Amino acid sequence: MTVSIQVTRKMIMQTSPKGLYAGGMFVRGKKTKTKGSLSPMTQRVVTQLSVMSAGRKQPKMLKLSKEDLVKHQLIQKSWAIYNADLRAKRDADLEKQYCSLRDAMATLQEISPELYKIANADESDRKFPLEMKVPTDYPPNKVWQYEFRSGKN
Amino acid sequence: MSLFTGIKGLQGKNFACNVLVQVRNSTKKAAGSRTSMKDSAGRRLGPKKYEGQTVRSGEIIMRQRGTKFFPGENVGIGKDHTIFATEPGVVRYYLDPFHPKRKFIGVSLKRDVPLPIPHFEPSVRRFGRQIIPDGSRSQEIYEIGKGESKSRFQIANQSKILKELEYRETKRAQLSKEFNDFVSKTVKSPLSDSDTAIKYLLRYRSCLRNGFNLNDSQFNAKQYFILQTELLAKREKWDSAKLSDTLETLNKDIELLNSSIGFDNKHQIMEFISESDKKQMKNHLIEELKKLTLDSSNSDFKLTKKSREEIKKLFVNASKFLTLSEEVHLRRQYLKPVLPENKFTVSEKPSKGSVVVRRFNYEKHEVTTMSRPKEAFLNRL
Amino acid sequence: MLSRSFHTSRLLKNGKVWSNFAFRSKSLGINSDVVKKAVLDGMLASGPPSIKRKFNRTKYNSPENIDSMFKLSYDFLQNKAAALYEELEKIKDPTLKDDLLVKAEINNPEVQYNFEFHDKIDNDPAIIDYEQPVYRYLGRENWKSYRQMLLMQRLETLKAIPDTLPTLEPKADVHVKFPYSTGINKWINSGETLSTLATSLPPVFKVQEYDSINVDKQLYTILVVNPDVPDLINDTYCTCLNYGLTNLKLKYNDNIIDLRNIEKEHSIIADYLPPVPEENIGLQRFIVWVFRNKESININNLDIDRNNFNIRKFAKDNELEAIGSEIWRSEFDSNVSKVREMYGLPKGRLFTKTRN
Repeated sequence: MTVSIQVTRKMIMQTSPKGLYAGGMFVRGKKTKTKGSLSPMTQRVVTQLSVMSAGRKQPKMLKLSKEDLVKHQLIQKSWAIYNADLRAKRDADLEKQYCSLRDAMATLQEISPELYKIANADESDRKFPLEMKVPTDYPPNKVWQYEFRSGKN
Repeated sequence: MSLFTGIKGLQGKNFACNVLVQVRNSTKKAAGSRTSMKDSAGRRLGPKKYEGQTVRSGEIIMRQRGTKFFPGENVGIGKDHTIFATEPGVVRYYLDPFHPKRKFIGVSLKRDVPLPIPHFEPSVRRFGRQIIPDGSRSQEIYEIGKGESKSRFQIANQSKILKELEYRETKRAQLSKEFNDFVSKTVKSPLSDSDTAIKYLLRYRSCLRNGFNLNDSQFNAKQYFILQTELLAKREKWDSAKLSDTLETLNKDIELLNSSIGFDNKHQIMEFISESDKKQMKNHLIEELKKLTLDSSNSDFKLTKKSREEIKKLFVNASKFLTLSEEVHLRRQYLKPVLPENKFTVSEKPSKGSVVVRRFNYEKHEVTTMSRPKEAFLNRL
Repeated sequence: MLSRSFHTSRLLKNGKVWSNFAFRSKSLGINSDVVKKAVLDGMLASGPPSIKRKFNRTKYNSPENIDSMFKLSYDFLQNKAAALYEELEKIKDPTLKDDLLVKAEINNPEVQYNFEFHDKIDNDPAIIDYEQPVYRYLGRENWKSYRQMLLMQRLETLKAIPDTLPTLEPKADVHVKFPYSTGINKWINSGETLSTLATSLPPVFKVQEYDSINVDKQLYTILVVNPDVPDLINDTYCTCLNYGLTNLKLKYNDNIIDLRNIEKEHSIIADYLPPVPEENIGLQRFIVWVFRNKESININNLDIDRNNFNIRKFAKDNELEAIGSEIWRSEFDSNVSKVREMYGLPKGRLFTKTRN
C-alpha cells in the first residue's frame, strides 16, 4: 500500500525551515533530523495500520477441529487450576502469618500490657517510619527526625 | 410610578419644558413574555371512575400524563397512558407487593374478589362468549369449509392446498398399488385384511423416513392401528372378546408383514432380510470388492475400466443390505472417478498419452506438477 | 470391594486413572480408536479425523505446540484426578461420593469430547451414559444453560403457572413427542401450537433426571391438563385432565415413556383425551406435569372428576412433588371434527367471535 501526500505551498512554508522558497521553486535542503526513531519500514507499517479499521486488526478467530478444541479447553483449564493452586497456597501462607501475629500479640497482652500498649501505639501521623531509612555513606548530622509528626492527629 | 413623579417634578420646576427624561430603575421588564402568557385549557385529567364503581369493558377509568397509575388486572393502557377496563367489573385502586413503588388500577370481576390476586393463586377469568346455535352460521365464511370455519390463510390458498392434497393422495395411491402388487407376490400365507396391511406398510415406511429406527418404526405404525381399533370398539361398544380377537388378527397380520417385508436404504419395498443376513451379505460384498481391486502381485489398489463395470454390478443390490452411509462410503472407496496416487498411477515423465496435473500441495506449500497416465482417470475428464 | 481397592492402589502408583477402564465405565472414554489417538497421543499425520473431507484435513493446521502443552496439562490434571480417586476410597456418603466422582472426571478430555459432540437428548449410553455422575452433571449444566430457562419463560408468559400449579422448581428435563398419529419424529418446543391431527393419539414422554436418586424405587406421575375448557354456567374456565399416568419407573438412560412400558392396570389414571378445541375460543394450553411420587398410588382408590379437575388438590392429596413440565397449545382447525369422530365425542360448539 502506498500513501501519497499532497504537499501544498503553505505546508512547506510551515514545516521545513531548511527549505528554500524562491521564485515559486522549492529546493529541498538537507535533512538534519530523523523523524522519530522508527525505521522507514516500521513507519510504513504503522501508517498502514493506522489506516485500517479496528475490526481488521483483531486477531482472527481460531478455527479448531473438534480434537484441538478439546485440547485447547483442557490446557486453559489446567492453567487456571494451576494458578488457583498458587493463589490458594499464597493465601494460606498469609493466613498463617496473620494468625501467628495475632497470637503473639495476644500473648504480649497477657505478659505485659505496657509493652502491648507501646506496640499498638498509633503511628499513622509519623511521616517516615524508621524502617524506611536507607544507610548512606554520608549521613546527615541529625540522622533521623524521631519526633517528627505530621500534625494530623 | 417613579416615572410619573419624575415628570411631575419637572412640571413644577419649569412649566414650559415638557421634555421627558428617562429614568433608570433597578428592575427592568424582561423580554419574551409573549410565549409565557399563553395558557392551554385544562386537559381534564384525573380519575373518571372511582374505587368500587362498576364499569363495562372499554370504559375509561383514568386519564393521566405518564404512568401515575399502572394498569393492573383486566385493564389496558392507551398510548397517552389512559387506563381503561377490558372486562366488566368493579374498579379497584391497589398496591402490589411485587412492585412496591407502583400504584395500580384494576378491575375485579366480582365485588368480593379483592385485588391484587395473591401471586401463586390462579387468575380469575371470564369466558364471555355465547354459543351460536347450529343453523345460524353466517354462510359466506363457512360455505367453503362445508359447515366448518377455515382460517384466512386456508381461504386465500384454497387452490394451492387442494392441489397439494391431490398430489399427496395420488402419490399415496401409487405407492399403495405398488405395495399391493409386491405383497400379493411375496407374502405366501393370506392376510386377513389386506387394506390395513397396505396402510400399515405406508405408515411403517413414513416412520422409517422420519428417522425412527426399525423397532420404533414397526411399533409406532402398529400402535396406530391398535389404538384405532380400540377406539372403534369403544364407539361401537364391542365386548372384550371381539376386541381381543380383532387385535389378535391384526397382530398376526403385522407380524407376518414384519417377517416378510422390509425397506431398503432408499425406502423402496423389498423382501425381508434379517440383520444377521445383512451383515453376512455386507461382508461378502466387501470381500468381493477387495478381490476385484487388489493387485495380487503388489497388494495395491488397482482399478481398470473393466473391473469398474463389475463393481457397479456388485452395487446394484447393495441398497438392500447396507445403510445409506455405508453404501455411500463403499462407493466412494471403490468407485473412484480418479485413482489414488501411487507409484503405478503417477508417471515419472510426461509422455504422449499422459495428463499433466498442477495443484497446490498443502504440506509443502508449493504448486506441484505431475503427469498421470490416462488410465488413472476412469471417468472422462 | 477387595479387587477394587487392589486396582486403585496399583493404579495410584502410576497415576494413570483416566486410561484405566478396569473399574471405570467404558463411556468415560472416546469410543472411536482413531479419535482417541488423535486427542491423547498427538495429532495424526493425516490430520484430525473429525474433519471428513481429505482436502480439508490436509489443509488444516493445528496450533503450534498444542500437543506438547496438552500432554503437560493432561498429566497435571490426571494426577489431581488420581488423588481424588484415592480420597474416594475413604468416603462412604453416596452424595459426597458422587460429587467427588464428578470432580475427578470433569476435566477428562475424553468425557468432554463425548459430551460436547454427541446427541444429549437421544443419548447413546455407550457414549453419554447418564448413570455416570459426571455426565449427569454436564447434562444438568447444559439443560440449565438454555432449555430450563426457555421452559420457565414459556410457563410464565403463558400463565401455566399459577393457573395450574402455583410454581415449579424444575429438576428434570421433560420432552414430549407424538409419534403414533402422524409418525413425526420431533420433540416439541415448549409452547408450540400443534395441529389437532398430530395430537390425536397419545404422546410419548421422555423425562431426564439429573439428580442422584434411587432409580429402582422412585415412581413418577405424569398429568396432562387443559385449564382452558369453557365453563358456561359460571361464565369462566375449568380444568380438564387429558391424560393421567402414575407409578411409572424411569432409568437414567432408558427414560422414554411410551405405550410399551405403561402397565394398563396400575398406571393409567385417565385415558388419553385428545385436544379438540371448539370454534372461536382461541388457543388452549396443554400442560404436562411430571411429579415424583412419595409412594405408589393405588389407582382404584382415586376419585377424580376429569372434567373439573383440581390439580393442586390432587398433587397435595397424593403427596406429589412437581419436578418438570412441558407445554403445547392447540386451536380449532379442520381436523377437529375428524378427531371428535374418532373418539366418539359430541360435535363441537360454535361460539361468538367477539366477547361481551
